[in-house]
Parts: sequence; C-alpha cells; structure tokens
Amino acid sequence: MSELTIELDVLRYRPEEDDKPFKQTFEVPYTEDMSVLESLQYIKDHLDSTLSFRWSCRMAICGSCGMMVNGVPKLGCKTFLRDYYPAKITVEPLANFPIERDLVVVMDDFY
Amino acid sequence: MPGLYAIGECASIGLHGANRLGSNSLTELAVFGQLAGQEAANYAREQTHIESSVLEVQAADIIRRTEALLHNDGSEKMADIRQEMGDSMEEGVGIYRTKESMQKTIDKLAELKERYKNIQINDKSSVFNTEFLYALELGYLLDTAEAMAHSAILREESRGSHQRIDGFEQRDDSNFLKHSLAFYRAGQAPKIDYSPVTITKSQPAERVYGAAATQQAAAQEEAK
Repeated sequence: MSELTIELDVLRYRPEEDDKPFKQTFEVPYTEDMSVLESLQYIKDHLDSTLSFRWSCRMAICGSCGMMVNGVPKLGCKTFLRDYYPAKITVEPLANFPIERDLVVVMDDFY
Repeated sequence: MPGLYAIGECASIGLHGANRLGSNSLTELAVFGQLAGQEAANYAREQTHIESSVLEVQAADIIRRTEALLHNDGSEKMADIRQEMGDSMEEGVGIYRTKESMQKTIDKLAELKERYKNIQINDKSSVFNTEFLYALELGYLLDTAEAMAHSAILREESRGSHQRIDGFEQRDDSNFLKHSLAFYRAGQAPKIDYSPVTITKSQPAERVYGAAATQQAAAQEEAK
C-alpha cells in the first residue's frame, strides 16, 4: 500500500436511518493511477462496507458511475485522484435527481 | 425448464469455440439476444399459464436461504475472499495451466467456499444494499470458478484459451472435441460431463500469429 493518502468527503444518506444527507470523511491510499471510483471501492472493501454507489464497466463506456466530484458531474472511473491531490475531494450523488441512498440517485425521470 | 430463455454468454450457444475474443460477446447480444427475445415471445403467445405453485415453493426457498445469508452474523471479510479467489484463478487457471497449478486453485476454492459460509455482511438495509448484492455475487462467482477449474483440470489437451504446458500442448480432437458440462452439486465439487459438438461451416483450426500466420496463409494459397 502506498504511504501517501488523500481524504474524501462522501455524501451519505440511508433513508431507513438518516433524517437527511450528511458528509462522511474517509482517508484512502493515494497513487497516481487511482480513480475516484477505485477510491470508493477501497472504502467499501476496507473502511465502510455500507457505502452504496453504482458502477459497472470501469472504462468510461456505461455511465453507471456518474457522480458530482467537487460539484462537477463526472464519471468516477475516468476522474483521477492525481488531478485533485493533495486537496480533499468532495463526492456527491448526481445533482438534480432525488437521492435513493448514498451516491445512488433515483433514475426514473431520466428515461 | 420449458419457457426459460437465456441471453448472452450464459446461453453458451457455441458461437465462439474455445476462446471468446474481446468484444465478440456483442454478437450474443445483438443477434442471439434478438432471436431469443422473439422466440420467447412466440413461446409465450402459444402457451397457457401453468400451475405456478412449484415455482413459488422454490422461490420461497431461495428467499429463505438469502435472508439467512444476510443475517448469518459471520466474521469472514468478503473483500478478502474475492481477492484471494481472483489471485488464485489468475495463478492457477490463467491461460497457461498445469495439473499442479489447477489442483492448487481447486483446493483454494474449496477453502474459500467454506469461509464464504461464515461471511460478514454489515449492511442489513433493504434499500439499494450493494454489500448484500456483492455477497450473493461472490457465492455464484465461487461456483463459476469451481466449474471452470474442475472442467479445465480434466481436459488433457490445449485448445483456445486453455493452454496446458505440462505435456498436453496439442489439441486432441479424438478425445476432447466436446463441450464440458459442469453440474452444480450442493456442498461438493461440481460433476463434470460432456456433450457432443455440432460443427457446421467452421472447422476447428489452430490460431497462429506472426511468421507462422504468414506460412499458414501461403500454404492455404498453394492448396487452392
């Protein structure tokens, strides 16, 4: 594991237990080739397995991992930590959709 | 099961031979997906509803098993099992394989399946619970990995992406021109059986690269 780390503020919301969304801060290993999606997967595997987010292809084809990164809509898989390091990164669900849970939005109006 | 249609690679229609090359899976979707959809619609139009109580009993059993998994209060870390499975498959059942490497992976998969029974799921939510989803997927991944490893170790030849480097480097059509079938057995390794291959236009052939490919093309040209 890399010795360098970076912090992410991730918006959490679990409708069964949270009255409103809140920010949770995580510290993850930093490497130059790591994407925002990979950092979320690191969080899910090692820090908090209850974090929910959509993803599928990991190669900027499917669009599943669309999310707000520092207020800008991005694909998590083609957005790299190196473009923000060493500053903290804010990750939120896509704007203008209702939040279903954490970074997952209700897509019904999209189709 | 009458009326059950499969689309995609799980349908195993035999289009790709022994090595499905990158992106060729699109054919399954665009061509055979459409056919399967049309056939399913035709089938549905011609059938009347059958007694569904048998299916409901099976569905209830699946719900019971998955609920038990969700609430099993285990301690094994899911990410560890998934990572170890991937590493072991890469190491033992990658493109180049030996009996020894495959056996090592088979043993590892048996260990991981045991540990899977005691898996830890922290998220008990019923809203977009991806941890639970990953847990279900991991169970099926282990089943699929076992089907691959047990099929591969019995195939004493090289074909497609199955390359034995322990004395079985050649394709052996007399013994192994057949589909491997893995049958799920609860609590034990899958049973491996075979079915015949129907060959129509494309005969099995060696895929060659570089200078060997030039030679092969020249030989084909000469034979014309």
